Amino acid sequence: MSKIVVRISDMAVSNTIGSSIVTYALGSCLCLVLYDKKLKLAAMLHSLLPEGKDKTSLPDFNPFKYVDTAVPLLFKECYKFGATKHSLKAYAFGCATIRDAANVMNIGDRNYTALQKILWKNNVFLEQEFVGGTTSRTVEIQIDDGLILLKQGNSAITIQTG
Amino acid sequence: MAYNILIVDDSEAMRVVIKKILRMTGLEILVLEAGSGSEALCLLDEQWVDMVLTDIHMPNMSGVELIEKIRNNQELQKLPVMVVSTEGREDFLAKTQKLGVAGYLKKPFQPTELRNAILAILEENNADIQPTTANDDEDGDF
Amino acid sequence: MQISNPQQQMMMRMAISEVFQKMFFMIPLADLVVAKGKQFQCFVPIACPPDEELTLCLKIDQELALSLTENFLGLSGDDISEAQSNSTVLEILNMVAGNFLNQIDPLGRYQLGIPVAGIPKEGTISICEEFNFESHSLVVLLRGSIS
Repeated sequence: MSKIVVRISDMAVSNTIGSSIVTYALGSCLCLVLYDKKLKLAAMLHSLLPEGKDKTSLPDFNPFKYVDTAVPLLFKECYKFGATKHSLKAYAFGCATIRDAANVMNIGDRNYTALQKILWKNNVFLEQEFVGGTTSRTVEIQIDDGLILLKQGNSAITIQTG
Repeated sequence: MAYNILIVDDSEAMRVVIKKILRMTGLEILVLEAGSGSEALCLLDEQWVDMVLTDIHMPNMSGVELIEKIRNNQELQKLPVMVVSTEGREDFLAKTQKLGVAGYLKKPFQPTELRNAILAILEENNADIQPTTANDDEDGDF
Repeated sequence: MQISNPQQQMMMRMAISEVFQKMFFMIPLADLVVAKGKQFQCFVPIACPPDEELTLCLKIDQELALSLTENFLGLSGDDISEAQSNSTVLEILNMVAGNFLNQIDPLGRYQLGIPVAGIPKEGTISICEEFNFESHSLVVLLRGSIS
């Protein structure tokens, strides 16, 4: 089974049967997973910071770095495969408090809040969320059946999508 | 199948939020609105309603009084009522439970929490809750 | 159960933070700012019969009220009326007051009233919490003290 790895500030969309999409070492970053059951289409995003809409004119601007600019692109990429807003189910991971022990910057919380804001504005429900806490997470979605394998700390969870 | 859902809340803004969530479910829902318990009773007198979502603290007639009146009305006795309120203290919870509410959601809530609660109540009342509308509206960024 | 004033303040802060994060998608910034531009004020009576009366008051920069309304209703600024913005702030006060009472008064001694726009009559301030949301000021005051 081939694995498509999503690095920080990146995304992947795939309908390749027999493959999975995975992201590792998810801390305060947000990982958003979308799945379309009928199309067997999976999408994954790994964003570092909450807001980048005022940075779009910067020369090295990467829209996947920021939750508010990345989420629309992830959905739009799925639409190219024939998915619709209603056919995609959304799952959120990460947004933990890591390193910044006093949580001064609240990056994890801010990433999560930025996600909620954009989903609400665009009429999308978050089906399930595994966010917050202080553990690092690994998230993998199997394209064939939409099963999400979540490792957080020493525990592993399987999430049924769709 | 279409459902008639009555939202009872004195806050216009909160009614807009609940309406948005109902629309997002993709179900065919006709929304009725009332700003108080007494207004809700007038509407219930005239219209068929499948479910009521009510606040507790409202002018004229509170949510608790409204539920009491619904339970004392032979025609409405079995109407599913869900409380959506900032009120979460024990005596209110006990009072509304005694009156047989179908659900109780505390404000502030997340959209998915309200959707799940509404779908669970509709399902419990033997409704076929397959979404029938596309709901891929044009507004927003994507 | 006696709840000390610092505990009450902490509960108020938590109530406000929860409401703002969950339904308005805002987390307060650490440094405080002074109020600017037009303000909107409202209050809600909280009574404990026979003679105890508290008032929870909220004062907010109008510009922040508009941002909050956008977030709450999921709309763009141009589509929002002043009435919707005012209704949103009144609902914020209702949720903050309710959330605070749920923590501080689980037995339900106090009766939560209906929030109204305007400035309440004077009274001793027992809690004053200031916030900076998106570089705008929000102040929540509790007039009267909880016995």
